[in-house]
Amino acid sequence: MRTVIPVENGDALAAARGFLRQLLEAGVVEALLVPMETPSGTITPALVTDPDLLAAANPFAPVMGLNAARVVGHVSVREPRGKIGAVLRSCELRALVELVKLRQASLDDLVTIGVDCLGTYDVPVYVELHGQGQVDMAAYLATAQSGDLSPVEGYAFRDACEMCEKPQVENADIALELFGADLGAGIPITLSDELAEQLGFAPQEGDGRRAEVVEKVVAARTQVRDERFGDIRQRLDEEGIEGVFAACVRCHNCMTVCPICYCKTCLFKSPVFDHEPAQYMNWARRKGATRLPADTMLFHLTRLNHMVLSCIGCGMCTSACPTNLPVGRVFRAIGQQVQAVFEYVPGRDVEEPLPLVTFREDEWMEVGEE
Amino acid sequence: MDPQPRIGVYICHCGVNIAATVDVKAVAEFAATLPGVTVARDYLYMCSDPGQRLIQEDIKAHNLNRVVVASCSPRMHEPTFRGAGEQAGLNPYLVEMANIREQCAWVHSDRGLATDKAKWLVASVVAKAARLEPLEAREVGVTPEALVIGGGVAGMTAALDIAEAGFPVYLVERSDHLGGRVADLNRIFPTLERVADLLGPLTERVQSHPNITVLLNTEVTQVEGYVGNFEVTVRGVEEPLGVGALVIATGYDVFNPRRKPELGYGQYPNVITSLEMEHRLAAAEESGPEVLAVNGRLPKKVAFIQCVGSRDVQLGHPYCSRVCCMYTAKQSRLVRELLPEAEVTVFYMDVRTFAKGAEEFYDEARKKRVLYRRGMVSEIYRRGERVILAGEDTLLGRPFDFEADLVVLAVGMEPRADAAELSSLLKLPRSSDGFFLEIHPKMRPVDTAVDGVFLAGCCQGPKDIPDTIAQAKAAASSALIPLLRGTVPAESATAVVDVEMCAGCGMCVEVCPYGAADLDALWNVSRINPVLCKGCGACAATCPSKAIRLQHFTPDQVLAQVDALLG
Amino acid sequence: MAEKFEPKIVAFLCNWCTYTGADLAGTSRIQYPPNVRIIRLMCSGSVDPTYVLKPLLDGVDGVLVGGCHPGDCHYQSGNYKARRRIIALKEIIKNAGFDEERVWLRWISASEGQRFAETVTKMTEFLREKGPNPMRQKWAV
Repeated sequence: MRTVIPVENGDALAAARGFLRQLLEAGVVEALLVPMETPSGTITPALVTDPDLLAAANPFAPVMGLNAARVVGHVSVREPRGKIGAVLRSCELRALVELVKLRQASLDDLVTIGVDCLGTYDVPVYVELHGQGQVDMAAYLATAQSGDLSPVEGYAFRDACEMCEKPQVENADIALELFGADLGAGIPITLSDELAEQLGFAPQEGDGRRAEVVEKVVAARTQVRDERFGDIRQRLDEEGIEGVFAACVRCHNCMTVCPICYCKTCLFKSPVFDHEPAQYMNWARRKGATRLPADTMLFHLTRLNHMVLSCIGCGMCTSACPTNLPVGRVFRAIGQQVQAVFEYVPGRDVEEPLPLVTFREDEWMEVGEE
Repeated sequence: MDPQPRIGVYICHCGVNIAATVDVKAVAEFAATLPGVTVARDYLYMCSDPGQRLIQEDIKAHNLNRVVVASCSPRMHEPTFRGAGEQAGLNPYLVEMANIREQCAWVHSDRGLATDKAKWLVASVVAKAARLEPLEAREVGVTPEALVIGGGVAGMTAALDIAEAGFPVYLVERSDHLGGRVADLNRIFPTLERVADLLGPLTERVQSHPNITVLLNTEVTQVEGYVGNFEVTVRGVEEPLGVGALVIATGYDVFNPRRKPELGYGQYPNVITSLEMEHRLAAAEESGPEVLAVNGRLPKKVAFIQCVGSRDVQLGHPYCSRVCCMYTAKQSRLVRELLPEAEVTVFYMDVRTFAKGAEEFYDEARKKRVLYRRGMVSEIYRRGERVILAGEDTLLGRPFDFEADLVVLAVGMEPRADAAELSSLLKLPRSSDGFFLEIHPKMRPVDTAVDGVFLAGCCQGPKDIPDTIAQAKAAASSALIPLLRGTVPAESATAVVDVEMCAGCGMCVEVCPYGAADLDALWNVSRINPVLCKGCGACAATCPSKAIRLQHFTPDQVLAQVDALLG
Repeated sequence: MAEKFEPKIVAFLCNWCTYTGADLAGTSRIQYPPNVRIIRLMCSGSVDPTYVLKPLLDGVDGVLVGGCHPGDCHYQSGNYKARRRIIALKEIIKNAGFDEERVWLRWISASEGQRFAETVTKMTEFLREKGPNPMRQKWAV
């Protein structure tokens, strides 16, 4: 059912908080996993059971410190678990689909509350803006109506957001559909008839401009994406991955924040890559010098092989990189090609099998026979 | 386990097989410099008793905890050297082989380059050996029954031997009778006994044997499982048959001479196949030589043409069918006896009489004035009631035209048209000629790449009846080994899970073809059932953290092998 | 150039088909260039992407992965999984600035000794033509 959360005094954030409170109080969920404003001025996901604390909830917060699909996994992966509502932006919803396939999260007893994403800042940028009193939620939310998504002047959204061509919510139990809406008047939502009844909503159409605005945003973002893909592909072609990632310090931050990299211990932190001192000497002699820490490009290339088919483009890797490497651009640009080979769209459908655990006997019959 | 590797490296000369191409002394000297190597030696034949003793004495004298033998393919002698190590108290999985014969000495001729390659192959295996871990030998039980596919002489003989040893056997035959191709024959060389007199009692014994279940008019449609425990689905039989071993005795097809239209078969009544001649000779014994008449007249000139469909590279049949020379000697002799007036000429490339009593039999045919003319017949055409054989006399180097009343084409054998189906059913490799492939043409002519599946008779390649029976008995005795032992070695190099590292993604469960991996419901980590695991490593390759490792092929071992190859 | 360039090839061969095919090339004495160095694995489906990536980064000029023809895998379906994995790997390295033509996946059966020898010969010639893997000179990887 499509309906609208009423907004009073033009305060969409308050209306959204009220809606979340309603979910808890109506017993739709026992707890909400939602971005919360901390007293120190940043945002973190938290699992909230006290409706009063939802006064600090900010489901629209323009900042992304982590892909919350990871923490949805923490609270959902095993029984016993609570009935939880998770507020997620589109890239988090897509990551969640992949994590469900990888059995790192479960949709059982989970109500996903998806929010159209208007773009996010890196944490330090957000903290700075917040400190200067420049986080104006009303102004930020107002950009949804026209689709002219723009950061505060002089600042930029995260690289991944600037080239995100899937900012709109798909496949959520409850979708907060911001695009095209006058959020000062009401927040259009889509939810099941059953849930709507439980919460006392009657069908109500918004002004119907969402599709048009989404199309506009996607077109603009796609253009940016393609330009950046073009740039990074040219660099990869000319310099190789070893050139693009030359400044890598192998801190593994990209892997740590990646929602798809679910291994408990990365292979590259395991004894397999714990080499003997004599081995380093051998390598140094072989090529005259050997980069340290060793296996840096092997790490990136192996990680590409392990997760790029599931890369949903949240760009947390880029945000986390201490040397500002375009990790996300590289992974997304390569991922786009590899995903196309397998006609695989990560995050689309939990029923779509991961390409490397399935096969058809009669595919690529020409491969291997030449 | 001693953490510090103390490796012994043994470079085999294999007589001159390796030593002629590879400087084995240089390889041994190089091996001695590799990390972890305590002793490196070369020796004439490592697989010989003194060779094995050399290793065993070194294990004791130098307290070796790993052994590398650089010699032939591990597919040949790995069990030998693992056994030698075990006798000296070393876990057999701490013995590893470098293949410097099949994959080096025999395929390269430049001594310098071959020696260099051998060094790196040894270095690579030494690097792996240093990281080897001992594994436990494991055994699984065997279903004490066997199944034989094919009810010809080979299949019946094999079934009978297994049954006589006391084990139940299923004999699956596609046609409605036992006897196979031999049942089509009249008399056999070199004794000229009647086939019916020999085949009858054999068939009778098979049919009445309490341990043999004969399944006629049916075929095998599916084979699952492994040596010791196969599950064979037979059309028309409801439950899959559980057996410990399989004998393949599916025989051959007779070459169809219509594929050589220049010989006029099917066009002229004068041209018949040797099999048709066999039938006519049988009829002639019953009712007199008149049945040999062509166009109403007894033939005055009879010609036999050898190697039809054999030794013919263009047809893809480069092999010799091994029976045609002798059955022609037999038939030509019988024709001489039935038609003493007729002139009998055999056109041949070479006469091959290697079987016991065969040369004597052939001599007898010539004494009975069967004429042998070395020559190739390239075309047969009609002239009146007769046909003309046009060809070249290869002794004189001259063309000839030869007039004949009756021409017998000595058709050869070819792989059965359905051999490919059985091949894919059993994952049984075939050689380039299309017959089933034995593991080694000399040393293991009955074994196949699939443990517990053995070959008997012409499905492996053309052979005569005594060779077929000998191979059938060999196949039966090989099949009896697991049945008698009651257990077979199970794969020791299975996949194992490090539960501390496993994130429970379940991809291993998805890719395991044997259902050996599942997720522990409580801890949400993978478990591998070692009884079901066959050690293919699909799970390990899929596991991104390597929480699953395939033992004996672990990432650190393989990557060390790669690294060592680079110097 | 002082010396003629000779490529180094690392081959990962499955025990049941290609490794045995390579043995058959040996027993048949079919000659091929000594540039290939073989590592025996049980199944092409156990070839980890890292096994291919590591030698490429170390400067090996070519990597050959050999398995059973479709339908012939000793372990039922390892070669089908290998096929997808190698296709993904080649697409990744191609887009990461590597020459994916240095990685060959070939199905070679136990009876195809000739095909094994021909494959190694062709691959050696192909890589001679192509020249050394640039990674030979690159220490900062």
